[in-house]
Amino acid sequence: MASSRVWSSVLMLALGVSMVASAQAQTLGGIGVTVGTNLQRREGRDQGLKLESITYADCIAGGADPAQWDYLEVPLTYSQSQGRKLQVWAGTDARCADDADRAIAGEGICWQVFTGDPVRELRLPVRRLLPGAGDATTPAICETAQQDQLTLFFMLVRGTSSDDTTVAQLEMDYDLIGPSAPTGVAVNAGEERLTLKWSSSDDESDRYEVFCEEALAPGTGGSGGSPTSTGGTAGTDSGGTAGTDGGGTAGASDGGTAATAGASGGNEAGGGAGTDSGAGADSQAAAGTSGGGTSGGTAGSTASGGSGGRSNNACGAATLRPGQRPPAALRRGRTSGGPGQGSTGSATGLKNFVRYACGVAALDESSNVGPLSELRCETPIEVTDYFEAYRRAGGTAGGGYCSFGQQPSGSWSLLGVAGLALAARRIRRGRSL
Amino acid sequence: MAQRRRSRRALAALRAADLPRLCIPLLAGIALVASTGLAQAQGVDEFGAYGGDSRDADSPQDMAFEVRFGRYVPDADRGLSGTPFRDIFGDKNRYFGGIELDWQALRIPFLGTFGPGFGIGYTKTGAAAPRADGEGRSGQTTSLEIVPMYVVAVLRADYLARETVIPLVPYAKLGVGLAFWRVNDADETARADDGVVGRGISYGPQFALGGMLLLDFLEPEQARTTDATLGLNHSYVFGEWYVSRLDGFGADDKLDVGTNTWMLGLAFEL
Repeated sequence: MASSRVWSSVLMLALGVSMVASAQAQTLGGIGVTVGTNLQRREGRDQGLKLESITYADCIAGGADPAQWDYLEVPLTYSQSQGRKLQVWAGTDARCADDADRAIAGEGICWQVFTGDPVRELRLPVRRLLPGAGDATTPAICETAQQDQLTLFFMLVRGTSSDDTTVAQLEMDYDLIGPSAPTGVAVNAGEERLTLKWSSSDDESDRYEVFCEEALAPGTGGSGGSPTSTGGTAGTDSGGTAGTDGGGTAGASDGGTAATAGASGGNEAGGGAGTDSGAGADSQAAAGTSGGGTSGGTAGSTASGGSGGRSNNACGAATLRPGQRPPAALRRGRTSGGPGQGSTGSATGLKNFVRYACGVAALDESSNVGPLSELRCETPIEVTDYFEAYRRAGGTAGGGYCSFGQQPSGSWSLLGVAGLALAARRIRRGRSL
Repeated sequence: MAQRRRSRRALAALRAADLPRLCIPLLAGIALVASTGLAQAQGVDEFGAYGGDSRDADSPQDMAFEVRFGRYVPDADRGLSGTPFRDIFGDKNRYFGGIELDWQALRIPFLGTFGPGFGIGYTKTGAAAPRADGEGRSGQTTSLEIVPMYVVAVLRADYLARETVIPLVPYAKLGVGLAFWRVNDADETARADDGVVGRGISYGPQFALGGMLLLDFLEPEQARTTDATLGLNHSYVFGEWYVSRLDGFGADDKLDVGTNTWMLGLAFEL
């Protein structure tokens, strides 16, 4: 009896406590969800960036590996979440908070980014928050999203309705676009480095990065003329010489490789037969016009002119493309610069006597890399700095600040000793007085 | 009265110097400015300086501070088989900025002050490094940075400026100079072919001869107020012939980054 009395007391107490707690929750927040302030983002993210922002680097982080993605981790607290689901909507309009208005606003304005059981810590891939992402979690969205603000709406729903709940909001912004490409790029050769100069008129430019890659071979010759029955006349400039009777010989000018018997000639890389663009003119190169089909030779009666090659002035690379976002793996230097300021920088760690194609891209304050400038090619060479020149002229100084070498010359030594002796004598005399 | 007597004495001294006639009006003007300025402050209040003879009222003077600027082309080709400095950096003028602090430890009667001084400055010269194949210049810079320092004994003959209307202070400095230098290859310290790093210390004798023009006569009242409030006794502009030979006292393993040049600057006595 006594034990049953104890148990009933405990149960009554527990019931009383739970009733008080329930009343407090209802009083404080009604039905709904509250967003905590302790947001979390991926490790290694720039500490200077707002937690409520999304940059291009955030978007592409991790590539296709979900474990490496950038997640927005949001602490959530609920009141009366029993029997309800958590829904998170993103949008650019306040109407996204309301079921009916959301339907009217349409998909482009509001998009759902989560639905599921209420959790205390919600992890949302930032990629999913971007407009147009849908269920896609591939990095492709990072290339299409631009720059805007958005709001995340957190709500508890029963069935499909959230009308009787409090909706929490989290303001965010995204900017995945870098500044426009620098212009007027010039390059100069140094030792195992190239020095670049450029200008930029984009006020968003905060700093710059230099990208380099081994250049494609310059001056690759054009292709030969197509076979003819009567033989073509010779091509001009860098174009191929026209075909001869029964089959043209390929053009081999400007360093191009010869093709034979009417086959298309060397392509831009001097490799296989005219495969790069079908006419030896790379899509991004100025080359090809000088030796292209138009100037590649006036063919014979039925001959066609040779296809073009890459001229000596052309500068191209296998991966780097002007106007496109450069891959981080090809970054060879960084520098600072002010808004709208011209600047200089160096690409380092290059090999002497290897020809490189280099370009510059600007970064904004969010570290978004802009499109690459036009490419410029140059070859690092050996240089003679002043210290090398000094040593070659017989100088032996150097070796560091702690390096003390030979003794002073005899005359100065004598002078020094005389000075010391004089000083000592004066001191002695002073003491004797 | 004492001031008037002093001014008359000064004018008499000028006549005795038998200066050309054209200079007399100018000097008379200076004397007038000086004599006007002499009947001046002994204290300062919210309206400025007031009372008495300023020269008797100077605050204690123990130090001199200089801000200096000048041409600085080091004698770095001295003792070499070629002229690498001139070949790379050219013949253009290079400039130096620095400061100097002197302790005017002794006042020598009828002459001036004497004491040790320490100076430090900075200069840098740079150019595009030549290509090793001899075909012009590369896009890479090479530069020589020098931080010259010196300890000198300084004699400033300020008796004339203090006791007459001639606002000139000749001076001489003699001592030892020392300079840290570094050669940069682009943005790194250069290394020779054998791996020796391109930086070091050079030292050697140094002297300077110069003259300072006392500026107090331009704004005598302001000068006295500054002295009374800040303890700044006098201000000068100066020019000097500056010679340093930082070759390790004749050692041949020092890069002589000394120079033979002129310097200009402002000096303040405190």
